[in-house]
Order: sequence, then structure tokens, then C-alpha cells
Amino acid sequence: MYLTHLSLKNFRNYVRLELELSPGVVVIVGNNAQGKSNLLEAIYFLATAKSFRASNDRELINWLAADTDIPFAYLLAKVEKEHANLRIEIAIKEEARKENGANGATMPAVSKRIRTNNVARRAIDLIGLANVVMFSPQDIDLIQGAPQMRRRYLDVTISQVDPRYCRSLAHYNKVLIQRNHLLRQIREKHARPDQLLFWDQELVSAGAYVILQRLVTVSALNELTFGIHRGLTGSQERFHTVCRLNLDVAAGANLAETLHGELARATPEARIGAIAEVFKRKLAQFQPREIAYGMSLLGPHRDDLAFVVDDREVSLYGSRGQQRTVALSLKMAEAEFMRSRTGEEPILLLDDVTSELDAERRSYVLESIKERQQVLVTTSDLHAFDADFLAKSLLLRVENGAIEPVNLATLS
Amino acid sequence: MRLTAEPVSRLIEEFTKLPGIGPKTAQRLTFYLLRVPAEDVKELAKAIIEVKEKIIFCSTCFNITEKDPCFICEGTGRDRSSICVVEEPLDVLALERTGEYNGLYHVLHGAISPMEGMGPENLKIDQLLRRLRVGTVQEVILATNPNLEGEATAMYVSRLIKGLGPKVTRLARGLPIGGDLEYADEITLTRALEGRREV
Repeated sequence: MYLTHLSLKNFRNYVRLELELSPGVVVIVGNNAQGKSNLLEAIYFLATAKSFRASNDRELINWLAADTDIPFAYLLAKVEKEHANLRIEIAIKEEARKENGANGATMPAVSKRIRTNNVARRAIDLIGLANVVMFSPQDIDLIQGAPQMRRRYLDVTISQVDPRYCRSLAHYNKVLIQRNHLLRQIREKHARPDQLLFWDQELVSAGAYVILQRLVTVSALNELTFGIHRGLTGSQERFHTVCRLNLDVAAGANLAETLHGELARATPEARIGAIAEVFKRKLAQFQPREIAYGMSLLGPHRDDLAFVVDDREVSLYGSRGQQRTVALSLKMAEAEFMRSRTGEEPILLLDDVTSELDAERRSYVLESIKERQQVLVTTSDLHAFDADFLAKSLLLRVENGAIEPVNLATLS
Repeated sequence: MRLTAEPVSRLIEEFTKLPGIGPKTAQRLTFYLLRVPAEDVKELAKAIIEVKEKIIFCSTCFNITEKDPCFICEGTGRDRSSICVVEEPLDVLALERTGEYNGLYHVLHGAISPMEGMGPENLKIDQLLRRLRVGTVQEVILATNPNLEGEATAMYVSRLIKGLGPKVTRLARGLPIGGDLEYADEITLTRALEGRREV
């Protein structure tokens, strides 16, 4: 799939933007703080209804517009897919300030309205319609950051190709909050342990699906990253990802083992059932401890991933350059994974990634993205690309929230 | 800062506290009331006070009523062998409007939600069990909302009823009438498939 048109109003530093795009490589050049990343953020937001860096949607509204009577931002993308055209619109609007807010909140609420092909949608129904993969210098947090970062990498990857995963995860998180409150109340003797029954059952059934998909996806990603990593490093290094399921680590289960043998060829429902069985048993075992702590100690909300190169864990023993390469391998595998699952090429967004790489890795990355359906690359320095690469790309210059095509011939 | 007469701003403030009413609507309602005849306003005030003073909960089913027991619990034409369990009095209204149900009700006044501190002891569950122990009820229909909290409540209640005798049923889940199949979300469709019936 590829973007044909992008239109922004009051989004970040773009007061008004109408941009026509073509398939192939689009290089966006500009100095710092001109709006390169904002452009990629807009596209990412249109595909996922989430920003990869703003913590509150209100930050997305242009700060000049934020002071007007009706603060709003509007985004529109037209996407050409294999068998259909897609039109995504998101309007972010600040709600009228209520002086006597129910909870005394002073922050004005922000509402988000999403429409695809002119039909109103919920955010959860938007995910998966347009697939994007974002590469950014922050990707190194995948290796160095908290386990939450690694879970998010998996969640974003799977959610975009599997609506059931997205729903199971949302359901799981809702159950988790209620269950934690209940555990605390049981600890304080305000509730009885038998009230856990329903929440346990929901936690197990939603959690089992999440666990199965994480296991399956990590092994699919491993098949992809192995080759990608060797290409990137030009070496014989063996890279793979280990799925550290909380049920295995904390409760001594071995779910990969559980799914071996007969179950390896069983239906997904049978495999989910097998995981649920183990999950349920371990929960019963952990109940006294969970009550004592007043929170849920078992389940996929505590899963983690470990990245291993030649039997060594990269987060502990890898150099910064190696960690960067591993993060890049994972991202490239994510794109490949989506393509294989949906039959559509995701749109790749590379935010200032080339500047962080040495010449060899950069040329490998550029070589492998050349063939992609659509790639948007931002850079502050066109010299990072060779002339041949630029000649085949669409060049755009960003300056203070405005975008102009660049004529390669006029460049010195 | 003083913008208008004190009684006016006080009424606006009172209206703003109501659900679904923002500052603008509160202003409009207030200035509307300033223009209508005094008798009409008195009628409105009386109606508001009466609703608070005269309405009580039925001691049997805990629906809202002006006399105890309520007209449904007292009604001679009602089927006394079936009780429909709902979360709120509003749900009784919705079910009565169908004209399809002729049994009794039981209003729980909420659903189990640990997050909001709503446990089984905050609901009228013991009162329901007491009604069932009398032994005349053959069927209990659980009509709590089809969301997480409603399901938690339904399961909790059904476990307690088991062993008391009556058959326990749950409202069917599935497609809305007049809807389009293609617009139904996956969970609703899955549930509709699970609950399919032979025609």
C-alpha cells in the first residue's frame, strides 16, 4: 500500500499542508525543528490513532490554534491498497472547558473523531487498515529500555495484522485493572477470594490468546531476523529473540514445551486451551501470594523479550553499535512480517535513521528499502545518500511547516 | 468577577451539576425559566421535589415506586414464576416497553466493579436470594449489561442461585435488528454465531 495524498490542518507546526505523494522512495530533507518528524508522526497517527511520542493528543494541535476559540487539528490520508482505496480522517478537537469539572481536572479534554471512507470508526477498528512501520533513533530503547518497550514492539506488530489480538489485549488490560483492585480489597478483607473466579476466568481466556500469538510471532520473526541481521552486519553472527514468558519465568511453566508434540499441529483453539489450562493452574497456585501483594503477579502483562547474538544477550554484552543493528533488524523483520501476513506492503517511515549508521550498514538499509512499495525517509543531510539513489527518489524540502519539491539539478 | 445577578448564577451552577448539561445549556435553561410564567416554574419545582419525596424503592424488587409494594410486584396479571434481574430501574423501563415480558423484576442497583469499589455486598443480591428461597420462582433471567462488569455480576449471581432450584437463563447476545452485518464488530459476530438457532 502507499500514500497518495496527505492533508494536515493545525497539526504540530503544520498550519496547512496539502501533499501529493507517489510510490517509491520519498526523501524529506530539512534542518532541525522544521517539521520532518512531525510529518512522519502524522502518518503514523493516521494509521494507528496513536502518536509515537506525544503523551497527550492535545500536544498534537498546533500551539497557535490551541489558543483560538475552537482548537482543533485535522488529518487526512488517502491510501492506495492492493484491492481498494482507503481514506482515513482524524479530527482532534479540544472540548469546551468545564469550570466545575467532575473530578476537578483543569486540563481540557481532547476528543478524537475517526472516519474511514466517510464512516465513523472507533480507534480500535482503525488499527490494521493501513500498516506502517516506524524506524527512529529511539528504536534502541527496544534493547535498553524497560520490558514495556519490548512488549509494545510485539503488541504493535501483532495488532496490525490480527484484530483478535488487539481485542484480546484490550480486554485483558481491562480485566487486569479490575482484578488488581479486587486483590487489594481481598487483602484488606473487604472482599472474599471466591469473587476472583470470574476475573480469573477472563484473565486466562484473553491472556492465553495473547501468549500464543506472542510465541508464534516471535518464532516467525526469528526466521526473518536471522538473514536480515547477517545482511546488515555482513557477518556470520547468529541473532535470535527469546520470548521470556512470565508464566515460564515466574511460575516455572514451560509453555513452548507444552505446545510441542501433538499440540504443534493442533488447531489454534486447542493450543489456546492448553495454555489456558497451565495459566489457570498456576493462578490457583499463586493466589495466596497475589492476595498478599494485592496485585496480579502472573500473566502476559509481565512478559519480556531477550535478544541474543551468538549466545550472548545484547542488552548486557552488546556494544551500542550492535544494539542499534539489532533494533534495526527487528524493525525490518516487522515490516517483512506484516507483508507476509497481510499480503500488503506496509509503508515504511524512517526518521533520521541513516545518520546513526556507518556507511556499510547505511548502504545495506538503503539497498533493501529501494525495492519497497513506499518509503518515507527524513534526513538533514542529503550527502548521506548516493546520487543514483536520489535520482530515483522523490525529493521534498521541509522548511518551517511548508513543503516544496526539490529539483536535484539545482543542488550543489 | 460578577457577571449577573446572584440567584441566576446559582441556578446556572445547579443545572451544570446535572448529567449531560454543560455551562451553555445551563445558561439557556436558566434564562428560559426567567421568561416563563411563575405558575409553570412552581409546577416544575414541585415535580422535582415530589420525585424526591414520593419515590421510594419497592421493598421486594427495589424498582422505583410511589407505593410499596410496586405495581409490578402487586400486579395480579403478572407471571410470578419468573424474575428478571437488571442493573438499574431504567432497564425495567426498557424491558416493559417491549411488552413481551410479563414476569417480575429484581433491580440490583449496579454491577460488580472492584475498580469503583462496587462489590456484591453493595448490590441487592441477598434480597434476591431471599425471594428465591420462597420457592415459587421457576426461572431467573439475568439481564445485566453485556459488558465486563455485567458479565461478572451475572456469573456471580448465577453461582449463588445454583442449588436453590430455579432455572437460570441469560439474555441472548448478537446482532441488532435493522443493522448491517458488515458493520458488526468481530466479538458481536462471534457471539451471534455461537448463539445461532435453527429456523
